[in-house]
Amino acid sequence: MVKKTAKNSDELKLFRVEPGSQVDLSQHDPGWIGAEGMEELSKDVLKERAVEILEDNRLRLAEAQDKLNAQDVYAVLVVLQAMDAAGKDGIIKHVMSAFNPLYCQVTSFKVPTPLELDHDFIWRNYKALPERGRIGIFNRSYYEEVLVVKIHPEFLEGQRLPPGKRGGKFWKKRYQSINNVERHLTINGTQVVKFFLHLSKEEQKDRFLKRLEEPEKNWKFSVKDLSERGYWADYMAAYEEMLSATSTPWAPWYIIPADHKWVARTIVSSILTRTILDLGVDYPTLSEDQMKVMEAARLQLEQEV
Amino acid sequence: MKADNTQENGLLGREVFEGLKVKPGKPIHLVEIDPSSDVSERGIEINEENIKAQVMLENRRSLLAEAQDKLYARDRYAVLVIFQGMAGADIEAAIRYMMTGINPQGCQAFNFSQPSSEDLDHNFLWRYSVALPEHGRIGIFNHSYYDEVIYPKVKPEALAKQKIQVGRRPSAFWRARYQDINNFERHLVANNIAVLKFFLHISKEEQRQRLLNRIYDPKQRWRFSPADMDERQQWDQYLEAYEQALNKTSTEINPWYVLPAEQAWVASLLASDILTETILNLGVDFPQVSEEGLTELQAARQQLEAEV
Repeated sequence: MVKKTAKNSDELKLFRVEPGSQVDLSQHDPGWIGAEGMEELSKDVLKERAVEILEDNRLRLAEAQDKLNAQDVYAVLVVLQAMDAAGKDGIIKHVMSAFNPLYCQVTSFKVPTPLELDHDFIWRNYKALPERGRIGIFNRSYYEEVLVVKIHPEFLEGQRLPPGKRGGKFWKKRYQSINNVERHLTINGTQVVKFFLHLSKEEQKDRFLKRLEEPEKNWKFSVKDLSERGYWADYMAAYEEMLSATSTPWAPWYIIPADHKWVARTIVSSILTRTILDLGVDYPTLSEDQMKVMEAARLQLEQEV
Repeated sequence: MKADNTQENGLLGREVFEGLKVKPGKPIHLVEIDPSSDVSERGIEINEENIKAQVMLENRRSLLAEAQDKLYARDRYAVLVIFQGMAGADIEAAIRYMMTGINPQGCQAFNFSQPSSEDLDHNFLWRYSVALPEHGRIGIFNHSYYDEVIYPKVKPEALAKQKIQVGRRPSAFWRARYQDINNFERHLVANNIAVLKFFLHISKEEQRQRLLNRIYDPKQRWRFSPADMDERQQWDQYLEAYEQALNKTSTEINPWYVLPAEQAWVASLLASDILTETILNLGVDFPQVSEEGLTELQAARQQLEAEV
């Protein structure tokens, strides 16, 4: 499990997709539960430790967010992508709930409206970007435009694009647009951090069955989830290509092992904490003029009877 | 009469909430309401550090979380929670205490900063209406359209930016705004959005202490705003504007609650319980899958189980 040491940036590397590398998801174990040298620890011990780290990170996240907000220079955009039932909602509920909701916003993108379809494919995401000093979470994002849209060409038709081939070049241009937008955001103070929750097909089946078996979870299941499961291999291929093409030095992807919810939550919380702290957020120092105004106010308040 | 869920759910009693309500037709005087308030009378035990209230709040976070889960799953109702208060009432802290640990996916909070020129070219409710919560969500307003009957009332020149004049009969002008607000909220309720309104009540002396604390604490200094000092200069006028707003816009369906806010945990605890009770009273529960849906689920299950 992720260690609580000063050299925490190792954990960033461990799961980060190195820019320019070719991702082969079969080389990433969705059931990963511990780093090298920790094999001797039992799963229960690891889990206990992971939960402790998560709790600790939640406090650090809250503090980092307070500074982010006070400083009002940077924003953080968290992008969550995954197959159905991979635990995106759980991450939001158990990790992001550490944040003060006043400065954190979650956006889920549903079926695009006619107005949205008449704009370019990033437009509706753009409108939902976090303001300076805030954390924005995209529960799915513009990356769907190179995933589900790629697998179901009829969605692309609905976008009424100018004529042309929809082959490799077309998708390459979409990756490029995304990289450029993210670069623009970074330059202007919005740090983008992207998590792919990597779930095995077997674990998805178990989670679906749970939703089907437990009446209070029935509502979470949509028949559509099952038909998408039928495209599993296509999705994996689309994810691999997307992860390879859009993990950049300024906006890296992290592949998070997601078969164990506690593993995924702890790793995401650690990477997120590190990412925000690496921005160098801190409480702002006031200018001389501001200090003068405050000093006058202090005197006035202290003298009141 | 709605069912009283409070006992069974371990919330503070209905009579506590009733005691905090501004009753329509029974105008209140804020100066007569004790902002520190003998909270033990209301079933909250506190000591000086508010530890008890804090523990109570943390213990019932799961109640609010569960109610919110159902609200979200049901996707039919929304709740709008409005916080108002004088500078230093520390609405931020109240929201933070109440909502930390609550799923941010089903919750959205808004601060309303200076209006843009686009905002000013619209009617005074516009920028607030675009921030309303969607079905299934809790929306929180840190200040709200109620500012529109507070600030410009004390400083009418603010209305110039809206290109509006109070005219010869100020009372008629403000009455029209109260009415607009009441009608707006009635429209929300009719469309499944419950509206909760909390006024965080502090004394002038408490405000002084809090402003000073912000100045003394280097970590808090950035929160200090000279505008707060201006507001303090006109404390009486602002309090009067609040009093009128509360009296004119507390209705049977959308009452105001005056929360004693000198102990932030207590205010949060009260707000949290009233919010939880409100959600539960909407009758939200996890959605039932239809007969047809169940058949589909059954088929899906068989398909999955048959997979190799």
